[in-house]
Amino acid sequence: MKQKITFKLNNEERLVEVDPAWTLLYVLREVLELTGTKEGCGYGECGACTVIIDGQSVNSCLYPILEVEGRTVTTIEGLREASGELHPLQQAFVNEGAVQCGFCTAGMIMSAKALIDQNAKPTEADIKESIAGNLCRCTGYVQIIDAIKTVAGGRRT
Amino acid sequence: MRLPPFEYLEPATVPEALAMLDAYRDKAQIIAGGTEVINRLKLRLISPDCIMNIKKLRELDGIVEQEQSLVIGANVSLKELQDSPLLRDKYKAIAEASLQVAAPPLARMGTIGGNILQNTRCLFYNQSAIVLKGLEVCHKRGGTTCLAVKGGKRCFSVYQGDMAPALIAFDAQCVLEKNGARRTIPLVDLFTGMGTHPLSIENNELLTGIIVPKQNGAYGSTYRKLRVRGSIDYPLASAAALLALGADGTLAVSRLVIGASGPAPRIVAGAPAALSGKLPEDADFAAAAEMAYELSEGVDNLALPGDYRKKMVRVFARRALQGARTDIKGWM
Amino acid sequence: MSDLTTVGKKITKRDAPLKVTGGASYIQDLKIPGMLYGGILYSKYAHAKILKLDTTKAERLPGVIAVITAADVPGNFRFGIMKDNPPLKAGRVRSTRDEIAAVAAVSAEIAAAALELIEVEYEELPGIFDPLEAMKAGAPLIHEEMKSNILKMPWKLVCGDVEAAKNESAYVVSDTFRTQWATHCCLGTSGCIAVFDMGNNLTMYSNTQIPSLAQNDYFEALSAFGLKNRRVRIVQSAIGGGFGSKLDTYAYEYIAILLSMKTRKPVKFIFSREEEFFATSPRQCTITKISQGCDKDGRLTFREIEMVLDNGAYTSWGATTPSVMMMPISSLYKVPNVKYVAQCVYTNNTYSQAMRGYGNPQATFAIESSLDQLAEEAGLDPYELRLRNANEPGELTPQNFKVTSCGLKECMAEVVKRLDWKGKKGNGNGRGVGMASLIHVGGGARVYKSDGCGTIIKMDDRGKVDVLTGATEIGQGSETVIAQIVAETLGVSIDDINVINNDTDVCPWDVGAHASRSTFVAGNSALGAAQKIREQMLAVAAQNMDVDPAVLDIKNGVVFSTQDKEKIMPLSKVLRKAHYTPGGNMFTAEHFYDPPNENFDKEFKGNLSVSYAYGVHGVEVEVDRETGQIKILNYIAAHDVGKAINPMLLEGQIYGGGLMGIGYALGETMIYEKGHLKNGNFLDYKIPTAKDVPPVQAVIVETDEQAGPFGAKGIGEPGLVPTAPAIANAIYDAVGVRIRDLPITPEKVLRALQEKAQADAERSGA
Repeated sequence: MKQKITFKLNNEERLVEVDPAWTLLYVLREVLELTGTKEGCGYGECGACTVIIDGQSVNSCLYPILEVEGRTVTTIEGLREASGELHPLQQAFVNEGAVQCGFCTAGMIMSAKALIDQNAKPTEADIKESIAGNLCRCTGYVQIIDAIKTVAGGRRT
Repeated sequence: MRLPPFEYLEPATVPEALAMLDAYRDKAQIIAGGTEVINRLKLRLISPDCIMNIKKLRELDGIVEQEQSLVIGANVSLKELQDSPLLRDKYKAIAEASLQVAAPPLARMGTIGGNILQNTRCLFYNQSAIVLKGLEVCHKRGGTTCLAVKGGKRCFSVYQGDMAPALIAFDAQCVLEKNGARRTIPLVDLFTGMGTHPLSIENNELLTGIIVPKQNGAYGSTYRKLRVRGSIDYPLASAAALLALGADGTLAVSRLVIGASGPAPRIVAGAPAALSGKLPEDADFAAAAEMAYELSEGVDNLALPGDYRKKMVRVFARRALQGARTDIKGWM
Repeated sequence: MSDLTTVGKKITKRDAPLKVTGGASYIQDLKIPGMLYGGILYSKYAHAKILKLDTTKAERLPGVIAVITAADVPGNFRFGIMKDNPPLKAGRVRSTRDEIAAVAAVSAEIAAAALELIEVEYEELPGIFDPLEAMKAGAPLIHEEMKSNILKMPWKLVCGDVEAAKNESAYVVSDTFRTQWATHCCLGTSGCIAVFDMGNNLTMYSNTQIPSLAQNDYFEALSAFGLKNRRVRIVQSAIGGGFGSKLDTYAYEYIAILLSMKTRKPVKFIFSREEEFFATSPRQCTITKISQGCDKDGRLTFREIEMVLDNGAYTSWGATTPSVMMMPISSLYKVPNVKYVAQCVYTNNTYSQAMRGYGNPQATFAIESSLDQLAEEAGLDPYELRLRNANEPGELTPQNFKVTSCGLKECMAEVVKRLDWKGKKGNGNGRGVGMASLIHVGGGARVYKSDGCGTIIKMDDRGKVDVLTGATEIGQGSETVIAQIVAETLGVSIDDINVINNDTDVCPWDVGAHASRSTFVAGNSALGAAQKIREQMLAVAAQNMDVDPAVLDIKNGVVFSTQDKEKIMPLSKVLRKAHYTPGGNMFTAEHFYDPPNENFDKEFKGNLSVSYAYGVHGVEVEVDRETGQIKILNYIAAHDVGKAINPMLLEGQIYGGGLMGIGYALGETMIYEKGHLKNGNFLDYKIPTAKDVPPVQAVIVETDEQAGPFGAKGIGEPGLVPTAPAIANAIYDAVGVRIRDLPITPEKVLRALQEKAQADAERSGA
């Protein structure tokens, strides 16, 4: 039995008909065709599916869709400024070599954004903690951490 | 990878939830944060007829300080526990446990109730259907054999929850409600010690809160866990300790609890006798840690070998006791 | 080369903006209208007879369009280097990743449901999971048609006279080392979409690293399937990681082709994470016996190695890793006498293929651990022993490698300085330092008949450049480096360069993104084509400007005379002049660069690569004596890269490779029990997280390799070659125990410490 839910997605009100057994990740990718959020494992162990719900970073592959009712969801597609300019985090990732194959990138950026929105001056430990659930196999994390540091004001490139 | 079909229930109040549980019994699976249940659904380890989301039950929110105790609602998220100054100051082991669970997104979604009520784990059990198909049906799956221990007559799955050992160190109690009845039992008694059926919660009962008695005087606590990586990993051995001095300056209360060392978190019952009535020294802590070692199980069913994990229980038990001591002014 | 404008600069990766906005299309994201979803049924047992296979119920499930088994595969088609691997197995299964049946359905859910309806009756057979057991005479045969479980691929390298050298050595050490199955863990799993057109020509949407070779593999498959002489087109999506996992073709790709043939619809396969773990081929595991010796002055005299490789149930590139292992064996340090023998043995385990380093990390673990043992035996500091035997520019190694540029000594010096080697060595107190070196191919690797890569460059009327390259972008930045090389050569802005690299209909041939060859080979190919275009443009400009082309240069899209700055001509004008004239011309150029390296001769000797990359890793560790846990206090990775065309991307390769190496050394292992993978998930297979990153320094040493584009050599793989032995050596310095089998888990360290304590007590007569 499909149900209708409403929620705010990337600053827009959405009304979607969903099967209760769907996860938020499934709805984003397959129903809403927002494929920027990736499925890396499906079990909440890699963070590639990270999105922001009500200001908190969560694994969308584990998030039951009915739980999304009435909430505010932000995905990677919702980060750019209205002018089309990249969000500072996105620009920093580009500038500092934080993107190699790019599969983990959306999840990383969302985790970093959730951190910076809550804590304008995170320490390096805070930054590592914020992406502790986002696995990357290409970069060794160093340039990712540097990119987040740049946006957090702790570092000049 | 897709979830099996189910009916979705969202009770708005506890009485509503309890009525639903009465009606559905074991056909309903309770979900709060979903971090464990969704995984088990995807692995087809469970196939309930309905999922009951209890996130809307406001009665299950909040960390409330009362006169003699702290009451933590079952729906309090692990992140809320991490951020609580009260826990950091007065219930340090509990705060430390919450900081070491999994990874940040899971801590945001996960609740203390869910973490306590997690099922036991084993490399031979927590697999998907594809892998399990090729293996004999073990005790935990309703069969008659153990895949981790040849000829094992019982289930050796491991309880890997981080919150329970720390809470038990503080002698926490849990409140279980069902239609028409409410019982409060020591949290440690929630665990049966049986890998096949690790929790003694009935299928129409709801865990609504945790009561942590206040500790007075000079005391310290800590939670230590063995993991391979700095994040994500469940504990492969863990220990929580609470030490409190009496009015005469000797140790009056000591609670040493070990986790990831068998199907249930265990209180090291012999520890108080070894430690109380004096200011214990490292040799006394070592003796208590030895008891922890004797009590623990180490079977080859997790990421590191069982005998190593058993040895680490001894190390972490001792370190937990030493860690609890550091906060007690005037002791060391 | 004094004032480079693009090469040598930290240019941002050109696919990064698309990737940070979620706009890149990986194979997971691609959809073709009407496409079907595929699923594979794997064997329940590691070794069994299939007595009955009934797909009727699956076929009848609404939404299932086709179900195939081995009976549906035309001919006796087998793939893989030994042609021993049928895409669908019949009669007997030899591993838990054997594919028995496959379905194509209208949705992924229905495909999964259909698999559950396929009925299989097995007769379980005893399996062989130890290659040493499988080698013994009389062991049951994994493949009955072969006479032995030992692969007919005898690897043997003999240089000089090892026996004589042994007798003349003052010091000799011998030991056995083991390495484990580790796997790539690309965040993007494997997948493809197979589509046929009305002429039965195949298009594969794919995340392969070997588009041209895969094209060939599919071409042969189509022939075997009855579709002779078809066209095959590979279109690559954005690739979510490679590391060698996509260096061979897999059964699922042929299955996709077969299902697409049968259904006449596009068929998509995407591996789940757990399929990615158990059904892709991991790094080759090894059992290595090694002896090394030196004279009384610490000069290496010989190196003798015997290896056994678990080949698993079928053969992929793992069986060819000895060809690369020979490289450090014969040419890491100056060793005049070398003997190497390797045997690959069939078992009922998983089978291996390429993984970053391709055998080099495995061999280097043994060689560099053993070298420290030799240093101790000879009473020398491990750094001193390495320095005395360090390779030097201009050397010819026993395997006939011609060493051109070589920065090994410089890398060692960097490590020693930055690690404070002299200050930290031998302090005890649970802390120690260790180092290990590496040699790797840096100028391509002639492992195939061709090591070439083609580039076609065309220019439009406005000065915009299209570069069509055979090189594959797997995230390492090859397309950015190519753009830099072309921009630098043509004197244009890098923003004017467009790189097309993902369509075999359009792009020239390339043997693949492997052997750290993209910068060197694809770079030289692009450089060659760009130089041809530059010549063409300068010729036209010279004519129009009435000067000798030799005095002209191009910068910022403007041609100018170096002798008279007033004489200028914008490039766009040059292009239009050439085009908009009767009998006009548009500038295009192509260059196929096949490096002048050599295939091995019958004795496995020959100059494998045009240049060799060197490096040294140094690490300081702290060992927790109670738990055996290792903490890395400092990590120095010094690499001789020839020239850093893009220092930012290069550092990314060093950091990424280094952390992958740390995972390989300390925590990653595939836990198999009688052929069943027990930890096929990110929880129990421990790849490092952000909280596991140690303090690390990437040190770039530039030795200006003459044969490389702007002096560059390769860096893709070296980052994880010496990691494990550097850590093992540091642990030995810290607490006096040596772990000989990877990964170095806390449990192994603790056990070794306890055994050492016991042995020390016995020795002192306690």
